[in-house]
Amino acid sequence: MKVFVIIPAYNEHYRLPAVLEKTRRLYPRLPLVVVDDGSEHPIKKLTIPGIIWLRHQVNLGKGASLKTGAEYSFSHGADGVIFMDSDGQHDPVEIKKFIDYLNRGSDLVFGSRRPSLDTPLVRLLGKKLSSVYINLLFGVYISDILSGFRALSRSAYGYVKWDSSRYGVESEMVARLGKYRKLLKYVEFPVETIYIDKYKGVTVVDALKIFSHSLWWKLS
Amino acid sequence: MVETLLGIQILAGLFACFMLYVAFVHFKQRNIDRFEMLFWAGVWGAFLYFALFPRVLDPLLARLFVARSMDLLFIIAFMILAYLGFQNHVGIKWVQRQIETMVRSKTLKNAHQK
Repeated sequence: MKVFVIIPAYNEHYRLPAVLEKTRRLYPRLPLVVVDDGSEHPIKKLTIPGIIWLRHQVNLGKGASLKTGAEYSFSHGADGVIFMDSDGQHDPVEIKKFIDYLNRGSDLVFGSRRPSLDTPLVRLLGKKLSSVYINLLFGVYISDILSGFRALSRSAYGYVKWDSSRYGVESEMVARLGKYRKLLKYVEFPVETIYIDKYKGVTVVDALKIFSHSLWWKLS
Repeated sequence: MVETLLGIQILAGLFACFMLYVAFVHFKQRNIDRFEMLFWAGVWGAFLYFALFPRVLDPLLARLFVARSMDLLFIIAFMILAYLGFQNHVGIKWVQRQIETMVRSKTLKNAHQK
């Protein structure tokens, strides 16, 4: 199975090189697709081989970047894609497990961040609450709805292709999975996470939007 | 019979004049066309007229069971605002989708591999 790794990046000039170097070191042949989501200063293209550089001229959001990466990958022969954050909070070592699950026939693979003592309490509660909420609405329980470390197969992309251009993308994918759960095989496994920035990522406002949008996805 | 103007009527009148001026400025800057200018002139002209002469609405108020002219104006204003809000929402979503499609298509065309 040909798998591409998609890394959306916005103003991640400092952390991205280390992520790419480590990933390339571990997987010398894996195609890596970096989507620069209109960073204020374009991300410098590193000399690491085999990296596909895509750049949005304006900032569209994480959801739109993942979609651009997926469109590119599937139109260039990928059978599956793995989404990974560019800030180094996901360990590239885990990529192998995603590939294994995809090879074993899973359509969607969720890497759920293992709670640790470093996990901020607000995030822990938010995670649990959103999992229960999405489960009530869509009948799918994923212990970490908002984790960006996940993989999907080409066929799954056709079903879960999202409209959210920003942070709602992760929940929308699960919501769409809920709609087609009889057709799609999904699995989740725990991944190690390094919490780097307390104030980065999903904000309370994003969370509220996701909650209200979920109702809309349920009705539509 | 000449009635004394209430403070709220003066305020409403000034606001209508200001909005007429804003519409005119946008017309001059070619942001709105002649038809839109006429439409907004009609809206704010009517608002100004009803704000200054609320008694002309009395027969309508009795039919609609609305107590005061200003209440009716507020109800109509809310309806217009709700309509415009919805129009804006739909318009912005459409523009966002267009931008996203354009940016993505250009991005995919300019894909660069090292």
